[in-house]
Amino acid sequence: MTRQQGPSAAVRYARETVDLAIEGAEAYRRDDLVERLRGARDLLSGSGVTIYVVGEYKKGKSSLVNALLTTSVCPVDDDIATAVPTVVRFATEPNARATYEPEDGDVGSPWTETIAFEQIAAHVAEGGNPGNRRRLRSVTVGVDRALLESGLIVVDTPGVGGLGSVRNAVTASALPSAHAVLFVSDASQELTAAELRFLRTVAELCPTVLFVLTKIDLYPHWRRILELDLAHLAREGVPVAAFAVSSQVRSAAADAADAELNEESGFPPLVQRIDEVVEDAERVALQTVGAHLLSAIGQIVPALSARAAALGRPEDAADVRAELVRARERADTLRSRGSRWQQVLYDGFADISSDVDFDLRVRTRAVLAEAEQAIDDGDPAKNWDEFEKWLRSRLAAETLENYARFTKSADELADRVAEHFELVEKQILTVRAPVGVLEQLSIDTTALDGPKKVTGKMAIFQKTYAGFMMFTMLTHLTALVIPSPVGIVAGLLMGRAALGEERRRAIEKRRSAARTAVRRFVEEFSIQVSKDSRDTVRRAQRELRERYTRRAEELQRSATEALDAAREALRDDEDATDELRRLQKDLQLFATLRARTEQMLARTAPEPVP
Amino acid sequence: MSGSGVAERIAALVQAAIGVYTGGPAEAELRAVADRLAEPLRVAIAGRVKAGKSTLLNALVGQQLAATDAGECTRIVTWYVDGLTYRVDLHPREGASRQVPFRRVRGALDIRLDGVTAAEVERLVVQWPAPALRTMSLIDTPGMGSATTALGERTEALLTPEAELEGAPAEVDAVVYLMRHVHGEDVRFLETFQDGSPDRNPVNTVGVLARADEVGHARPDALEVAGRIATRYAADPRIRALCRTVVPVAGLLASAAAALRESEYRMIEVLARAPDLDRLLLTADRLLTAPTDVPLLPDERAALLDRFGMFGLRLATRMVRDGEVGGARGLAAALAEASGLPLLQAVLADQFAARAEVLKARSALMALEAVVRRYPPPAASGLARDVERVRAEAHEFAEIALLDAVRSGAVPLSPDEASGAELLLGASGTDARSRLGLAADAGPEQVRKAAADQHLRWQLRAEHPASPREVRQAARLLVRSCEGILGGLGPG
Repeated sequence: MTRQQGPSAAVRYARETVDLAIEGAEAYRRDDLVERLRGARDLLSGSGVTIYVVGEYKKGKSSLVNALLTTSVCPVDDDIATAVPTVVRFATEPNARATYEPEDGDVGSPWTETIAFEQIAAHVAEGGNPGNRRRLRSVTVGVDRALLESGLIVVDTPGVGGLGSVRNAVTASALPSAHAVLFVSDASQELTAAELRFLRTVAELCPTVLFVLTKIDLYPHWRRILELDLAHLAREGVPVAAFAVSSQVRSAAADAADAELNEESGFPPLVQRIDEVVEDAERVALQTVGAHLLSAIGQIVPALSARAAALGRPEDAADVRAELVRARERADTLRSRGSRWQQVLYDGFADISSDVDFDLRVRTRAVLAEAEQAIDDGDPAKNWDEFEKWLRSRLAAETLENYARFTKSADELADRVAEHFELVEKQILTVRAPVGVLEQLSIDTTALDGPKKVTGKMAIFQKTYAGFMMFTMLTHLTALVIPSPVGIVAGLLMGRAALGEERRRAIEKRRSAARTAVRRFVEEFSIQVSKDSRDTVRRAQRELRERYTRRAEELQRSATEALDAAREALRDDEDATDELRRLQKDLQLFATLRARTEQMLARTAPEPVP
Repeated sequence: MSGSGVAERIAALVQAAIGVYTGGPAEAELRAVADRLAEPLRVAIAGRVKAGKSTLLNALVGQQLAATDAGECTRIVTWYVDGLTYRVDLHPREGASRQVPFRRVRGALDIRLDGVTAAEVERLVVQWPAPALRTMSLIDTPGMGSATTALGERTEALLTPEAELEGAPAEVDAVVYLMRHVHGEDVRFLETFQDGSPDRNPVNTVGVLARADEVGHARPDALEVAGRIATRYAADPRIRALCRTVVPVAGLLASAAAALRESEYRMIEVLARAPDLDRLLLTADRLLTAPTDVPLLPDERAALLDRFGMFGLRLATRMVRDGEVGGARGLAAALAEASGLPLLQAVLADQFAARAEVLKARSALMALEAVVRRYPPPAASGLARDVERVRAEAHEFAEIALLDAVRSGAVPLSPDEASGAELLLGASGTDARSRLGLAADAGPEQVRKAAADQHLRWQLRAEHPASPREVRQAARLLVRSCEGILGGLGPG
């Protein structure tokens, strides 16, 4: 395995280009563009390609992480399972940190503390922290491993089938910000209905799903199981890449430094695929940065070229001004409420809001019906605690699926808005300059066609999704109390249990109390969640709107400044020749920058699909 | 006080009912109930898909009867009952049952459905003269949680009667529930099973931590670890409320041991002598395909692996190499012991078989009650009154119901009191010494003293004004159980 140290050459090259563009924008006092370019530069700062490892209870997730990184940071126990997410990232010195939930009602940032490396197991495993009474949110571990050096972060999660499945909804809520998900199942049996259902949700939240079949050393028929699993996945319409591995063999190979054994473990193709994910993430970042660069350069240049035109060929000045006036009018339209992209945005979010709300309503109603059926079929005095737990996790699972639906449609909408916006943006930036001086400087817009999809949704949405909704929703979920109807249990189970009628009446009474309690709970839950969900929709809408409004304002300002520059030249022509020389030099500089950016975009362009 | 007392009374009652209903629509049903009373205990083997139900069934029968496979395999509920001849009957969902042909492929039954699809079959009944089936009939079920959902629904239908049939007798007397590690779905299923009717309870369910050899990645200590997990589960109140106890069983090991052939032993001997044994047993693929000097054909290696699994092969070769066992019988015995099956058999024999009469009688009584409800008998026959009276007077039923309530935590007792009460109610055996938690060789005086102590303890609890009502009622019932024990000792 050869892996380069630190950021790649492409990233360094992109960083230099952005720095030059920032200097240029500062020289022309375009602080709005400087800010945008600084933000773009942050995308290149490397860290943060995150891969989540999810799957059912006891399928070997922690072993997989350990074998992948040839370390033993994730505690593996034959009995006790992982209880909180473990975040593994690069560090030169091994270290570990625990993050705790803030107290109820505390909106401040969560409390963290450094823990001893040997203490990880006590924090992470269920046994050391039963029922998570310590309100631990996650444990972050830093280790010195080559695979992580490129900024890769691997997150080991609690099993989805475990008894506390509300927790795993928290995990899943972070998936939209993941770059890939390893879905783990083992070769002891084919995928179950519950696993398939979870996998479907995961694939909606994060499109890059790698299916990993573990424990192939133990089961001679693992190829059959893999085949069956792939058939299930194909039937579900979930496209995934599959890898069959043995963590046991990989760890043995690492201990014995045995390359052949490593090959046998099935890990090399998985490691290679993970490398590709990291490279892909870098490529997407470079494409995004490239698009920002082109847009920024494209906005500074018209002002320069307009002034150059006014100075150099005064006879064409009127044409230039007319062209610029049209460009500004377009920018004004883009900014106004009636513009196409704004309409798409408003209508789109209104649709999403009502869709998501309806979907949630249908789902909670189905859960309620199931719960009432269960109550009618049974005796609420028995297993009420289990029933309550079941109800909570059913609701959490449904909410998660509802949330996945929202994420997907919001992503699609963001694409549509981007398309409409960028269509007009292109027209503004392709101010046709008159022939002559400006010929060699005319704005080439072909590059704008390429990466517009990429700029559409990347950075902003990820944090919008992950942060808020699920957390508040789940706090509501755990804070709501379902009063137990067991209180009214008379001791009728005993002694004279034979008196059928009396017993039946008692059960009926309990059932009706239970039904009322459950109905109230589900109603309260759906009020809270639909409030949360509406807030999230609104927040996403606001972020998208503000983002494009800012872009529209930039364009407006660019067009106005270009127009002003063209007008100014007519009033003041003292040192016209000097200024013209300077302008042409600057234009040359920006042209070079543009060429660099285009080169960068071309190199990182996605492979054409054959 | 003995179980047979109530069983006999109910058997007599069923006969009386047949007299009342002769020629009526309920007669056939009642005759079935009477037959059922004479039948051995019906034990269903249930659990999540791929938990190893068919493998365990084979181990219990001691033959490779049920087909097993890496993929999901059992698609039809199949009954295995004792019989004089070998035959298989197909009971379709609609229409009359009929005999179907079958053949055996490497021991396993290959039953031909004769053009009927699995979905149209309600059950298959396999009659097989096997000693193990004389004491209990076994029922193999499709697993819960299959990605092919229709399979799992089958089993739920078998074990949880429809709502409209509430009060109808359960088809099975006891359930062996296989779990691999408790999954959400496991608990849900156990719940459904409990919920179906108020008369279902943990008393007739035993939990099995199945595929125990795969726990802890089949390392040599896998079975010890499985034992620890089972102990933890058995102590977990959520699981206690659902089943009586949890025992670890390595089904594959048990079924291999139950029918270990001399030829297999010889192959294991050959393998155990291989100098590169550890290298070969590192992964299943290696054993099957790695180049080696071991004189075993690839087919033979594959067959061994299927029969024993990686853990079984590692264990068996180690035992043979270290000279711990000699001969096929020795190996079979050692593997059977290691598999944990004897413990499960002991639980079934001591806890289910001992209560089998009462459990069966209870099922019969419920069937009888259903008939009486549906076709009210002439008042003059007194049948309805007799049925009600048996139900009211049967202390055994009350004990079972209370045991259930105590285990599900519905009675607010201290942990110490609860465990004492469970013993007294016959949780680990219905003889006097088991009930009192005494050694099997305890003398009569010791028994008498212990029973008197318990009697006093529960009497005080029953009369204590601060005791909640549920506790007072429970204590009164426990006092009766003590009186039963004291009465059984005779005058001292």
